[in-house]
Amino acid sequence: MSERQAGRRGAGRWQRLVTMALALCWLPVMAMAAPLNGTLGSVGSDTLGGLMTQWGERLSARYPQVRVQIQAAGSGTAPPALAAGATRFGAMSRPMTDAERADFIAHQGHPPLAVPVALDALTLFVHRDNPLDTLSLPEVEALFADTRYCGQVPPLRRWGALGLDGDWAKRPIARFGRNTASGSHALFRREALCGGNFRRDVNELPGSSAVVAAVGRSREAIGYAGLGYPTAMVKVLALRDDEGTPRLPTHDNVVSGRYPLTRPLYIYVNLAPGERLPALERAFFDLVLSPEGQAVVARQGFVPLPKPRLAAARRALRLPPLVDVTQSSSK
Amino acid sequence: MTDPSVASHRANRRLRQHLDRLATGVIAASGIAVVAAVLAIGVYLTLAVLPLFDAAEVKVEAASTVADEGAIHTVWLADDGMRWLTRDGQLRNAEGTIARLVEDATIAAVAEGDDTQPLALGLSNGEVRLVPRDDRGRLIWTQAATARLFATRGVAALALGHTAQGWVLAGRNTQGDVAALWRAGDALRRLAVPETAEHIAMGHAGRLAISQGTQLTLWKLSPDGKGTALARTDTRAPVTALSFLQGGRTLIVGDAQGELRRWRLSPDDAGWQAAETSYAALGDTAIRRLIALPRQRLWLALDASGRMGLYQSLSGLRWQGQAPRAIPPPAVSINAQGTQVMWLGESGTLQRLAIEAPHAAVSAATLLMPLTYEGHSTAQWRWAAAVTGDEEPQYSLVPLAWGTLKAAAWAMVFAVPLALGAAVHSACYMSRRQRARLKPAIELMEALPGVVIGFVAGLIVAPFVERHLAGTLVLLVCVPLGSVACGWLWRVLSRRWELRLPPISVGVGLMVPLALVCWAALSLSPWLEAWWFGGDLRTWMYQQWGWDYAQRNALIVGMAMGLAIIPTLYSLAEEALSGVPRTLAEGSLALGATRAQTLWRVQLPVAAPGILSAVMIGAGRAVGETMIVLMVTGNTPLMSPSLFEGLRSLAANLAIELPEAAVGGTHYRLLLLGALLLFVFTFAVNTLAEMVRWRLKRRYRRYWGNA
Repeated sequence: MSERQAGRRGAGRWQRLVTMALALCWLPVMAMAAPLNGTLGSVGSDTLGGLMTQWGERLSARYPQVRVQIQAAGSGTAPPALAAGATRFGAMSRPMTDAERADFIAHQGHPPLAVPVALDALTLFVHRDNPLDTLSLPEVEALFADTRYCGQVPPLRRWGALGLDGDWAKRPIARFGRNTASGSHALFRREALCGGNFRRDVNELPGSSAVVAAVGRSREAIGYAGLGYPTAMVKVLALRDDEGTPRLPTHDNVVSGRYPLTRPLYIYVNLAPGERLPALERAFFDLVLSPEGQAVVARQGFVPLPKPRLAAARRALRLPPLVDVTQSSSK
Repeated sequence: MTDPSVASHRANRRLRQHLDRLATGVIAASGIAVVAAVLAIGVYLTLAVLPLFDAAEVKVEAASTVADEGAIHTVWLADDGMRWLTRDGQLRNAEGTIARLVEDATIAAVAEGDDTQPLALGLSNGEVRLVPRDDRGRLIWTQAATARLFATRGVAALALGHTAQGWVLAGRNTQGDVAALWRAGDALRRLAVPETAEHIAMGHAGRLAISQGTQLTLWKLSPDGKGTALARTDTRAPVTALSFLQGGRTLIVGDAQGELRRWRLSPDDAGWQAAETSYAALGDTAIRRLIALPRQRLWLALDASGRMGLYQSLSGLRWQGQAPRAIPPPAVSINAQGTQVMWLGESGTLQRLAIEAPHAAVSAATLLMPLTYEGHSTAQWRWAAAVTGDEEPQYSLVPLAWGTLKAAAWAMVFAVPLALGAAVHSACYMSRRQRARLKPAIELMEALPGVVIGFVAGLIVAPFVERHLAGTLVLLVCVPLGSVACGWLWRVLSRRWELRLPPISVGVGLMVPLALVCWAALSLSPWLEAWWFGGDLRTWMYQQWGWDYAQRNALIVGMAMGLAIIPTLYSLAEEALSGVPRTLAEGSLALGATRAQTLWRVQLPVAAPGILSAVMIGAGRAVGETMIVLMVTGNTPLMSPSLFEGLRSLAANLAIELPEAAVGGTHYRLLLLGALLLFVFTFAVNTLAEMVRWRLKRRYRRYWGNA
């Protein structure tokens, strides 16, 4: 008995030694494969700020060693930071301009890679008590611009000019929007004002939630911001298309582009052509461009990328294609 | 023998001397470091701003000759070397022919648009070859398509312009007929213009300018084929060159007398702007050619005697000199940034013009004068940074400076009476014990962060005032009047109990009636509004005086920022007043003057320089304050003095826009110019205020010394 026990104990000791040796051999391999760590930094859009934070939290949950730092002061802050090499990720709610691209290429020697991560629409909203429901695009221009590059609607000074009656007819219009660093501002200027100039009395607030809060607290106000922001304090307006059909910025209208002011949201990456993404950034994009990452998009009030665009984005980053459950089961 | 205690005493003294010297050195060094740091900021800002005012320059960089001399039409400098287009339609580089674009005709005109438009080659047989671009803007030479522009005659000139869905290519043939190709989606449509022209230029959205002799006509092409002539004008001299600038809303017209004029599309796009602007001329010979550059609304003008000028649409002539020898007008190709022009002279000489004008859009006039910008009918001061690079930059510092001073002025209107009143009261009327309690309490307000004040004022006070405007205005009148009335009443009533009540009851006795006055004002104001102002004060103000009311306005800024500068003002003014030698006041009182007389005739005049410096330092603080202005105003760069409209201050503008500005760009440097202005202003005001205070201190010392 005791001998056998001793023998077993001896075998156990050997086993332990072998496993330890094996483990030692494997250590470098494990170190290469498993723990992702480091800090992922992003500079850019305020509209994308909430999404980036959510994705970052999920990434940190998957890989506890990973930290994500988000600066969300406006899309305009991304290109200078990318060009200067201060960040490798730039979240932008508008495409880069030619000048910004040229500046990036001048500093980094190659163009940045634009990865669409979600769809958004610029929504127009008024105070919840305001009886107005729809606007046409030329009316939007007349509300916010003092140029007339899209239409010829005369300047609108009172809510009555938009067909409201009673007390509303006499009330003045207060206009709220984002500051120039914002992609929403630039996109609104390009799409809704046809590149014209904002009226000088459009209040510029630093942050989409500040715009929503300001409109929610002022009965006579109208403002614009991304899809994810409007609260119960404000009423989102439908935009009339060319045929006069009012279109609300719903999921379907945004995906189909029937709502006029839709836009993709991008993450710009400093990635030289032919180079592979570092593991950490790969993991981030794998998450963002996965069903889980896109579910975050929907929960934040934005619109997930349609499947073909999602697949194209993954291909551009050389990520493995998603296994499409619904398609394979139907086949 | 020396006494050991003496020795240790001596060592101790030496140590103390060393320490003293060290301390003096450290303190002096710190002081110098602070001054140096401040100066360094000033120097840095100045250095960052100076390039804005560098003179623009056009440099002729490389002169070389290329093969195929004489047969070349256009040359490009691509990433992988030079390529050129021969007149017989071959695209070549140093190695040989890359592509053959045209078979049995020669190239007579080239129009090269931006990276969303094709390269158009006008041929001698009336056709055009269109070289498309891929989604990154690179030309796909192998996919050139052909379209017919003219039936018989060859193409003589081409011009490309943007539309909402695509582009328009206008052409003129050797006979002067004009036609255009309109591209929308995948469809290409030919449009004929029933006029003849010597020069053509294509603007935005199908606006076509053509000239014949002295007649200048603006056409509006439309995809349905029915073009309309929007406006016709006779110019002073025959037109010799036409070009739309970037954006397609400003037309530059050069004439036979060498004059250059700017014609703007009117805001409704239906014609010309009434006032045309003329630029400094290069000479008196005819303008041969205008070359619009793709950035900053710059263009080059060439005249018949070989002079060349670089102009900007708003700031005018930026550089002039001699053009490289090339007559007749050479074929040019411009890079996307507008910094290089490839220039091919007649005998195959190739020159590269480097255009060094990164800040050409800035001049004293564009910074300070009201200008008529594109899309506007009147001259205005505007500040609007060009975000995408296609917009016309609107860089006037005047509305920002105005906003800064307006905010500061209204803040002073609120703060000065309150702070000075409090200072006079606590310095001259309060007992030492009361003062010891009040002063720290007011000074503690200084610790309130600007963000908190801004948040409360912007999100709580501003909407409240908007809803209770009449009440607020009544309050603003009633509170000062009410306090005076309460003070007087208190004086009359309290004489009887004066000795029996504790001193604190003065405060309570004033507070309660004042609160009552406030309550009454607020609750009676709706009635007042209904009786006098037809139910709505804001509508009434608009109808009566044309005053608009913005929710975020100077009134709110005045109150919020006033609150923020009260502690500074109070503290400095109180110091000045309580520093007035007591002997003076006592002497005055002893001679029979009342307390009010003593205050007015003795204490205030003596302390006046100190109070003045307090006001100056308060003003300096108000000018530099950022967070409150940023959060409370809507940052609207308006030029109105109205208390009820918003503003945009230099400091807030800096906070909002600096993060987005590309480092080293015009916008960035202009923002730093704003910072430099703020720096100089606060530096000057504070220095002056310190000097005044210093002199005052000397004066006090004299009084104390005599006493």
